Amino acid sequence: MIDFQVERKRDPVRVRVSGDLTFGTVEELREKLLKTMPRKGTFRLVLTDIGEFDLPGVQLLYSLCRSGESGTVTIEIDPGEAAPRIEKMLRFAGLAPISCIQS
Amino acid sequence: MSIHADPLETFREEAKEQLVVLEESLLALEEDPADQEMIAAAFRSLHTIKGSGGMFDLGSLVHFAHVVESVFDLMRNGTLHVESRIISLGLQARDHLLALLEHGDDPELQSEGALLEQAFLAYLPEKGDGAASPAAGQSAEAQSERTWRILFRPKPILFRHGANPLLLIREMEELGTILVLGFSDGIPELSSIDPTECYLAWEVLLTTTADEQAIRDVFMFVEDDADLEISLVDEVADSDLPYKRLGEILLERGDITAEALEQSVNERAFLGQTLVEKGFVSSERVHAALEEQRYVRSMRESRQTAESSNAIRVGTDKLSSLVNLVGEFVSMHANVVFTAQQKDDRDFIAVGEQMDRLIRELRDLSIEMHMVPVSGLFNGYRRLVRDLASNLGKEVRLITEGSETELDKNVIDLLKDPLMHIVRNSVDHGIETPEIRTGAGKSPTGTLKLAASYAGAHVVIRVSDDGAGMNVERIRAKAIERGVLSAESDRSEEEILQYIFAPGFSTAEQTTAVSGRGVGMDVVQRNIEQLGGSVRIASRTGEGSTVTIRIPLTLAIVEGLLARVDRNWYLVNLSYIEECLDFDTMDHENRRGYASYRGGIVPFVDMRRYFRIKGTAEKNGGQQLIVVSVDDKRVGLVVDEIQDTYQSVIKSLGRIYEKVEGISGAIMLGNGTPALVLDVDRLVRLAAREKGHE
Repeated sequence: MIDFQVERKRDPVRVRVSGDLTFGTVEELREKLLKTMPRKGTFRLVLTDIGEFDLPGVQLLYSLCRSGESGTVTIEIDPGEAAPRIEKMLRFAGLAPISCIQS
Repeated sequence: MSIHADPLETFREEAKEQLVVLEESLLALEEDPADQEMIAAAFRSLHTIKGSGGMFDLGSLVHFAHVVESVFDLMRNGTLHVESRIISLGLQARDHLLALLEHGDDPELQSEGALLEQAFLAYLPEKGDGAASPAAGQSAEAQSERTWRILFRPKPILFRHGANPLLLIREMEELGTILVLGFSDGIPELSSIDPTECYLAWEVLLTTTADEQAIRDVFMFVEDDADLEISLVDEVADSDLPYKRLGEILLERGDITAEALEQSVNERAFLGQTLVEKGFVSSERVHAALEEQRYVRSMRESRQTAESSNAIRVGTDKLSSLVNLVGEFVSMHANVVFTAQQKDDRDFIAVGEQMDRLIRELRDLSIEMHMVPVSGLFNGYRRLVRDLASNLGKEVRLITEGSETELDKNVIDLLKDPLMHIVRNSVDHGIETPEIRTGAGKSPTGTLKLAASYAGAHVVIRVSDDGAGMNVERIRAKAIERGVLSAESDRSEEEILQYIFAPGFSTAEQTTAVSGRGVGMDVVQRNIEQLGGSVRIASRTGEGSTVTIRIPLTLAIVEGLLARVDRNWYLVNLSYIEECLDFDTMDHENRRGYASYRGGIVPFVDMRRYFRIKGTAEKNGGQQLIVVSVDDKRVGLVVDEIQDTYQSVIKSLGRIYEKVEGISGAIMLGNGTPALVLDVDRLVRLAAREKGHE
């Protein structure tokens, strides 16, 4: 289970997720993100409360950013306190930084 | 199996399947303990269980499977023989693994497992004494460090099967030093992604002493869920070479096509930037290729630093002096033995034989110290080819093969100029301009290949191009015009091509600043023959030419068979000799010079007649036939007597012998008598040519 909280519905739309970002939750999270994401403007995802995450979870974050690159919506991911853990995993897996994650 | 099944449950099911395989393999081994396939199958099952278990943090199961697997690894490598007790233990281990899978790590199972583990550990060498590590085992045959490129492209199903690439990376880390390059460019945007599928891919550069099989073992349990390519990208012998260029790496990895590279190279801008701008490849792939370059270079630097701390620098002049002195010493020893044999002094013969082994070791070691890889030589031509091609408006790609082949440093020094001449000729006259090549249906970029390989006590260097090739008819006409070939001659195309080595011979219609004045190929041949080598050319019009140089590994010492004709002694290099036969008992036809040989015939050269030695073969016969071969040509040399093998330093001959074909030098025997060293290469060719035109 993943807890999905829409903190702000108007531009910039702001969503906070908590719980695990793993193989078991990525499908659910994707559905919720697609439903919540505006057609234009800014969409901000806050990850500060996430628990465990794995490669399928990281892959979903890349996918979210990619959606912003080709559309009219600007995607921003605020990793919050999860930033060092995400960075560590990306470095270990040899993956490039996720472009829309804010430092 | 349900696609969305719990990965841990999926693992349990698959592990149980592996345990079935393990049990079947063990039972089959009981029937036939020598069945290598079954040993490998048992090992694979255990390794798969261990690897998959590691993804779910099943510590006890992983540890136990590792211990059992280590014993089976010893059997797989032939270090340990299959015996009935191991099979019994294996079956108990199988039951224990099943219990661990079904009941987890309960205390009762722990004590049972500990006892079994002890039984298996008794078969393993002590830690530090070659015991297998928890990572996939390294080969028992330790190799020097090499760098491998591992391309790991998971299939979409990978995550659903519970596999975790991060654990594979961790396992590779245990094998050596790694650089991990992940690729996320295959991930689609949110509306198109199935987040349970894997869109990631990896390239891992692993520097390790482990062999390819040990690396493959890491991926054993995901082999059906991923494409795996493992290639060697760097080894010790390559240390002095510049690493591959960006375009080469991208091409090798399949990131770009040759066409894309060609289109982008011509832009004269930064290649990586151009490729990305044209949409041929993602910036992530270019970044990864640049990282690979940086990694391999830094590994080479570290290796060179480590090597230099284990070495001392000695001037090449001192090394050359040492090699020469050893050569003289070897000659002196041969003289002692020769003299002792002549005088039939058994004490001296015995001492000489005892010294022989030590002297051979000393000789080999001193020669080895003076050997260097041809990579330095080959590398020196990169710039030459690049600049020449640029000046001539041509596109030429230089590729090298066998750069690790080693040659005496003196030979390499003496080979530089002749080889440069051949390379220049290839670029200038061989490879065509891009326009002509395109018109002929070829790639606009020509290829020049420098390849080296060992052939007995010789090294063969081939310079080949895919250019226009040579016009045999023009060479024939030129040879007739210069009076070196009669108009009626029916020499083969191959023989006619060799006229380009005649002095002042050039068929180039235009001389250029680079080549084509007919000065050079004769000098090339002379220089190579002075090295005791030979040079040949082969060519096909429109397809290209290949110049083949054959040179001895070292100039320092020659080992040959001593043969006598009348009162003259000759040395035949051992590396050419196939066998020696009693000529008198063989069917032979003296007038035509053929002898029956192994169900066929072999042409022979009567050395007495060849060197115009007066008199006839000795009464009571005893004539011997030394069968020598060069490439695919075989010839017999008829001599009066064969003595023992003889090692010596070759002395060059004076001008008097310069024009005598079939002699490449001389040695001095123990009693002060000179022996001529036969130029077997030349003799074989001369004989083959004569017989071919009878």
